[in-house]
Amino acid sequence: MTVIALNRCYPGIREKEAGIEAVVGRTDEGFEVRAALPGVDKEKITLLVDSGRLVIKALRESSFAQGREIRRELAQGEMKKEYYLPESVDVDNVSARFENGLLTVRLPLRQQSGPRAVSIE
Amino acid sequence: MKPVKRNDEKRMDVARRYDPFRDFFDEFESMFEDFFRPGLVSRTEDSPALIHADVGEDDEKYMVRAALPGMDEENIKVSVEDGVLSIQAERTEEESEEKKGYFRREIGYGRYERRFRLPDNVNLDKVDARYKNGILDIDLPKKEKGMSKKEIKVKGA
Repeated sequence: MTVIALNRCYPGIREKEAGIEAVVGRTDEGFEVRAALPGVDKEKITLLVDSGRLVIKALRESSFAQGREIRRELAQGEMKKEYYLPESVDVDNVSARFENGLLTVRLPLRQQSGPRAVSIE
Repeated sequence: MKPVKRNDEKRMDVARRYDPFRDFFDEFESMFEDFFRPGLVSRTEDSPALIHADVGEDDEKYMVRAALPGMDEENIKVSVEDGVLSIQAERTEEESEEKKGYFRREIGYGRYERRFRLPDNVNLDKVDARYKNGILDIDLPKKEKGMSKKEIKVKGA
């Protein structure tokens, strides 16, 4: 579902690994990734960004510390999501916040400088 | 987070023993079954999306742990009627984000719901619900043994 939306609307960002449900949206400053990580502790989320790549890793424990599980629908254990990023993403200014089980990663684009005259030697 | 599909092997195992929750799932889930089921954050359908949940129990209570990432607790409603537990939630976008325009179409907003048929031994007066870190915790204490049992005196003609 995400892949379709990505390829159709934002050819710059491609999904590599899809272990976490997330969507990518366009914002005024660039892109924003929202990943659903309900019940995951903030300390158990790893976010990596370098030129061309965004990796989200998370570890989710069982819903029940005690008792018997009757039905399981939520993912447990290690989860991973990976995107290829376009070069225009300003890697140094990527920021993230985690609130109510939703991870929001802001990926601003580099300021485009206007056309510049190049002197000929 | 991707919902985990229960495999047939486990289903058989569960079916062998008495499981009050199973009856509900088989009956109600088909109502929402859809080839292209909307997800937790990515949905564009007008109909409510299915809330995924883990269900467990211990000696004192049944426990429902429903995934509702990025919600406000004011937008989550929990009710019990005719032995059916209903969870309804709505995600509303902040005004500033609506102005961004593009995002609205992609990010999940709208209504979510899930219903569970409850076993008879739930003490409805003591059902407790909390929302924390994107998970709605519902504890459904069991009635003490004997509370749901009543002797009926047989009268003579």
